[in-house]
Amino acid sequence: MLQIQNLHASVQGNEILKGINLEIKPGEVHAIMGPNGSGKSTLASVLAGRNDYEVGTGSVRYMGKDLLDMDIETRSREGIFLAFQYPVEIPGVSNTNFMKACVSAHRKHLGLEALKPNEFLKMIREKAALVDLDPKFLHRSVNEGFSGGEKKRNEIFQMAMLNPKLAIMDETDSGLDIDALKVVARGVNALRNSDNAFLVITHYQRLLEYIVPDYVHVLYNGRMVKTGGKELALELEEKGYDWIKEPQTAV
Amino acid sequence: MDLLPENYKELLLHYIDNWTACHTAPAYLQNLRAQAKGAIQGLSFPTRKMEEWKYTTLDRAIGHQPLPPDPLTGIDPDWLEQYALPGLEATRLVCINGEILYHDPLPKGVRLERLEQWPSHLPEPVPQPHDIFEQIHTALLSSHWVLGVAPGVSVEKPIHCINLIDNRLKNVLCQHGLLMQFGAGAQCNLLETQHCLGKHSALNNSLMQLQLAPNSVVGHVQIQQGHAYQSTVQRTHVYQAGGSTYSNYLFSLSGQIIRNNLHLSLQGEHTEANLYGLYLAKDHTHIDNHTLVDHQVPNCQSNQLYKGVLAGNATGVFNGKIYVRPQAQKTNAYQQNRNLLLSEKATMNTKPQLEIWADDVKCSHGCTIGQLDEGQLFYLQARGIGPEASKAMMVYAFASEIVEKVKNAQVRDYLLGIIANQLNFSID
Repeated sequence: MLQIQNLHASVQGNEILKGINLEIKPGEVHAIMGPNGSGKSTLASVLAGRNDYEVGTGSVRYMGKDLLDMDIETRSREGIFLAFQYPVEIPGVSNTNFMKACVSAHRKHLGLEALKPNEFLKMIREKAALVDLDPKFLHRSVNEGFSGGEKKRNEIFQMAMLNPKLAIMDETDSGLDIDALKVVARGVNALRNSDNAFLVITHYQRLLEYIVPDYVHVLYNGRMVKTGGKELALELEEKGYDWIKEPQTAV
Repeated sequence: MDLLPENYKELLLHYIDNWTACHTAPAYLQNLRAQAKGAIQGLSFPTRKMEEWKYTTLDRAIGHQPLPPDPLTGIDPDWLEQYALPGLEATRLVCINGEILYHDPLPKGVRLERLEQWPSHLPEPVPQPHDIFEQIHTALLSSHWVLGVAPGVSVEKPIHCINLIDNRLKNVLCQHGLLMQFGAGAQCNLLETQHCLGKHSALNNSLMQLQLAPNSVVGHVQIQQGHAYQSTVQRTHVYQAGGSTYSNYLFSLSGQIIRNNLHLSLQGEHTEANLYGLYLAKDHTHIDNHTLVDHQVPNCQSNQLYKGVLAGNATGVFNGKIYVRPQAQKTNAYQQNRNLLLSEKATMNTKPQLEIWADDVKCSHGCTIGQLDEGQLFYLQARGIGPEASKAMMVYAFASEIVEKVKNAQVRDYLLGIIANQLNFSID
């Protein structure tokens, strides 16, 4: 589904990603862990198409196509979903209208007929229930005045609405208490199937107790330095990150 | 430019003589017209050297040498349906060149008369001495029409004033105007819309005067729309007695040049004034809003929120004056002006101007000029919405904050429809 080869990316001349390799197949859950500043969020942003980053050498193929060549909105319509670390507030646009616009853009791209109003309403109610999102939030402006937990829940709600093939979760656990974390994980687990894949970026092992990964990768200083199974996350939790840090070579 | 304003003034003065000779009026109005003509001779059209016109020139509008339209008679009420708002039940008045040619049956407690036929004495409206547009308005006025709401009457349906501009045959200079009297405790909602009948250039010179008696409540929606050769100079003077509430909602949605002066005099204690404005300008449209809230007495409150969106080569001006006179202690006065620039060539000039002579008051002002937020645009695009649709969605959201202030649902829907249409944007 996704093949990343030797990906380099920089921001304002500083190289952040220094040759990333990663392959994700349908049905898999990959976790990327790593200390602060290792490049985890940069990787998520580059995959979603944020243009603050300059992509250097390397390639990213998604469903057989060149991902880096696609517009931001095309990536989304083709099934990539980024759950933001810091979801953006959009005053004046209600969650419902926002989702209506998103869903209709996706369906149009996929050559599907527009949903009838009652079908859309049914869908939005079901998906809100999946993440215990109070229906009153549907009428409120996107993320405006939401608590940290409500914002993250809203991200998973949007994920459920758009039913992506590849969901990238950028530190979705940050700022969540344990109950909210369980709700988010329940939503994600309900969406898991053999056709889709998840890339879970996290600093802590805690989320991975609820969203159990097939692979855990450690990103450090712009490179993948270690890959293992879910036990690697426990090991990191116990020992911290120091032991995986390579000795820095003098330049 | 075809003609300099001074040449136009000579043409206009000559025309005023001819026009006056064939438009009879009661003696008081004949006197006012003559005084106004005299005043015009001594005044000049605004130039950028005048502080009040620093950023606005009307050369483009005046260059077309607009002159008053020929009288139009015999309006068919069915024909008016196209100017009604969908679903809005309203009492309609149709006004062309300052004459009211048609009105629906008036509700109980509402009266509409020429000034000379008004049952009680009303002072003659005297134009502001240095304002050439008010003088022109008076010099070319057929009649002063007075709309009155009796004390204690709550008018249920809004009164919809449809201002038509007959520019089918030539470039026209239209005088629109109404005097309005709201009795003590009266409640009324007004809606003004304007429509051009033809394609010629038009300059709509509008003068509205509203008197609010104690404890009256008036909502006043003004919608300005026009084609690329239609300009508007609009004066709205509001005089508020104690305990009254006046809310103005001014929507400038299209046209060539629009200059609005909204002037509120808070003359009695415990009055409330709300001023909401939204202007959308693209291509070469120029929109200038001058507001003045004059706090003359203690314990009054005014709130002001103007928002603008400027695209293409459009230019905008906001000048917000708040006067707090020495005796006007315990005044609360707020003003906000927020602007979105959508292109590199669009320009906005904004100037809050608070003049405060009292010492125990709360006044605040703020103005912003910015662009669409990149982070918000990325968020929308990352969910699959295209870049143009994302921008339109954000501009629509920015603009709808002002529309939401309007109390009538049909008027809100009408406005949102126009705005969405202009942005080429649809929410199913």
